Amino acid sequence: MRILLYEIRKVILSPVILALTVLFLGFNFFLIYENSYIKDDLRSINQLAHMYGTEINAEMLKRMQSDYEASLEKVNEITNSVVSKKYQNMDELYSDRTFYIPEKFSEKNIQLFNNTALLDFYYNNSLHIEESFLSRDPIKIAEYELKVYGISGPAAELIRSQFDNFSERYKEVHENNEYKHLFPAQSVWETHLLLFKTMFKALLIESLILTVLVTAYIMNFEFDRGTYLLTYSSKRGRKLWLDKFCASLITNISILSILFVISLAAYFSVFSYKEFWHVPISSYFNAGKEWFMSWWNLSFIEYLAAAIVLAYLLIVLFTLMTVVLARWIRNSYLVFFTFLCLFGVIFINQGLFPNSSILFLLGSFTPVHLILNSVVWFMQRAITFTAYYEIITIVAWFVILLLFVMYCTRSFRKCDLK
Amino acid sequence: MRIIIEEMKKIFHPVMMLIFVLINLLMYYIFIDFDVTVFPNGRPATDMYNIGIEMVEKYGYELDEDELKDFKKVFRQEINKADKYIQADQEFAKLGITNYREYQEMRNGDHENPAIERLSSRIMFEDGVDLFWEIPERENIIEEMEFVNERYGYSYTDGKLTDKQELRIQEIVQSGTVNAIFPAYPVQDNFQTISHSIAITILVSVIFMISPIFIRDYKNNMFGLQYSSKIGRSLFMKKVAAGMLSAFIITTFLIIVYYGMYSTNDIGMFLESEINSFMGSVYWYDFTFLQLILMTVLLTYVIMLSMSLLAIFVSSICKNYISIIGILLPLFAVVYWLIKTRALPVEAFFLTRTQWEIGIIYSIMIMIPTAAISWKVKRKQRIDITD
Repeated sequence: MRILLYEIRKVILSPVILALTVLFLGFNFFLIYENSYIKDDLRSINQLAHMYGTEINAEMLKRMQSDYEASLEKVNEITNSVVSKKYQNMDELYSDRTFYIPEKFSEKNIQLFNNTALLDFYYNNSLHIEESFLSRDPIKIAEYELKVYGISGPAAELIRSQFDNFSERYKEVHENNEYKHLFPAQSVWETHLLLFKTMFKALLIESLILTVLVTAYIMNFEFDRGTYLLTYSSKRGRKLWLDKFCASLITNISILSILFVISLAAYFSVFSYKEFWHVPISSYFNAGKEWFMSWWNLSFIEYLAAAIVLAYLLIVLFTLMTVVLARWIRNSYLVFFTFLCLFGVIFINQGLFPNSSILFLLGSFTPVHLILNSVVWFMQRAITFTAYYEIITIVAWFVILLLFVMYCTRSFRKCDLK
Repeated sequence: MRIIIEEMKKIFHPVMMLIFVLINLLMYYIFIDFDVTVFPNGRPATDMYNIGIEMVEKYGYELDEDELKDFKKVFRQEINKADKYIQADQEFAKLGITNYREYQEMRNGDHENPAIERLSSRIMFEDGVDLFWEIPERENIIEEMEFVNERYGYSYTDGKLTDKQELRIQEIVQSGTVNAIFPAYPVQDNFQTISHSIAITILVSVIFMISPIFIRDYKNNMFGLQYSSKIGRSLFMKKVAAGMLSAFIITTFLIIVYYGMYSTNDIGMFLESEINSFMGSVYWYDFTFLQLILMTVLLTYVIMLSMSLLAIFVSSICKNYISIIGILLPLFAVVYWLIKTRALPVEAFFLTRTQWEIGIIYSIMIMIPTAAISWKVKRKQRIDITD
């Protein structure tokens, strides 16, 4: 136990790792700050959701409609008295170029305009939400994706054989009204992109870099310092390797936790999700270009939790990968760059196979593809045709890498130190 | 000299070379390959490129008034051809379209009509009729040329110009440089992305090769031996020289390889064109495309050498490999961002970039590593051997 703690202390006291962690946190704060211009809008949307509830139903639509009409009337009273014009809806008002002179209206009036416009947007979109949802046919989208990626032959057959599941899930979402919920609209505020692409990708890449550095540092510490002959010939000896292995796992997980907790705490304190924690992630308002419903009925907070768990698993996987490399390469500098090369090779592996082969599809079942595509985790997509894409990838790679690690443990026990 | 050569042998160690090759193969495949093999990329880039070649072959590097008339004549002929194509096609007749103008009006006026959308998507994408791609491009070129006084330079600068920028545009227009034929859309844009990718690939390679230069000796406990030898502490300068020479060799080699690949893109006919063309953007300087490429190569060298000097410095102050990577990583990120957004031509010389900003960036890039290294040299003279 004491040895384990000392191994961990080596990293924690290393100024570079600490400095990088702080720097990365600073960068994450910068990302949040840079996008913070939407925070007032999000607060208004929360108020809206608070007033009408997040579920879209006939009764709620009625209340929205009456409020919207009352609000529009007020707007028209003001515009009538100032520019003597009346408008059918807020779009018409904003697109009227002769009208928009901010000085003519008080701050309060402009506030009213904005709120009415927001109500207008949400009311109209909620009113037509079923039509919009039905117009988005998952099979058609999948076929389009096949065409874009140029997938044909057995690979296309395999994807098409899953189409039943696609439409089944689609029907399910339609029937249990998962899509009929209010959520910050993707088309305007892009919160899903902000959280799961910008923030998550930054967090994942940062912790990946730290993972590789930390693991390479701990595992090769004795070889880098030239103390290996001494330490590995002591009584504890080669068992140190396991201590080092555990120490790197624990450190990586702690660093990931620090990065996630602080960054996400900052994120959610700037961007309010107060009313939306329990809204299904498949809400049609959350639909973006590359995704529009998840494979499972997850609420936003469940989806977030699942994503965080996946992030932890990925970091553990990459730790294992680095451990295997560090077993054979006794120079942490080379371990880092070999890891980069390995990452690149796994990333481009699909280029080796023709677009028609099933191997091409399986080529995307890697932790590298997972870590780079956090925005579409658990979402229905043609290219990752199964609902269990994330689970299959993680389990398969865990099995492979654990076997490798076991082999490394065994071989290290008897290997030549020189 | 012998010491420098021996030091360089250490830098070009076979294992390092192996990973160097692997890094370059991967980065070539991921970042550069696409811009080399797929040029021009799709339509209308291909059509624009073909029109550009046609113009250069026919009119030389500048378009004067007579030639513009001729270009318009060709444009009218193309429209006539399109009219004939439309008259021969049954589907146009069904929609009541008898010539190209009517077709264009219907497309512009009636977005909701699915029949016309389907028809145009058939001739544009499925049949890929060149005429229908080329005519709008030719029209654009003619328009740009005719309204050059009113519009040139404004579309890139969202309309707000300082006096200096205003003056520069006037200068280009009045001196007639603006008549140059240079299809910026596929040619300059392609060069822009590819020169970024090349610079970043070289940057990674150089940093990877140079960074271990001092730490290798430190790890092997060489300092005690080296400092007490006859050559002693002046070895530091020799090692710096060896590192810089290696960086220069690596950069030169990679520039030759990657720009050699770029030369297969068939842009030879535009090399003599002025880049301040009515078909493109506004620069602060009167360069030909070839000069622009040479400037890019030159500035790539400056970035690489200053970054390798910095890497050498970092290597000399670090005590383990992880710190080197940890320190160089944020620096790399900054330079990456600079390369991607401002430091290299094309962007560096754009009218929208103030030139003192570029000057400051490069002076910082040159001064900081030089100052750091000379501080280190001075310190090395009297530092305790056991430190």
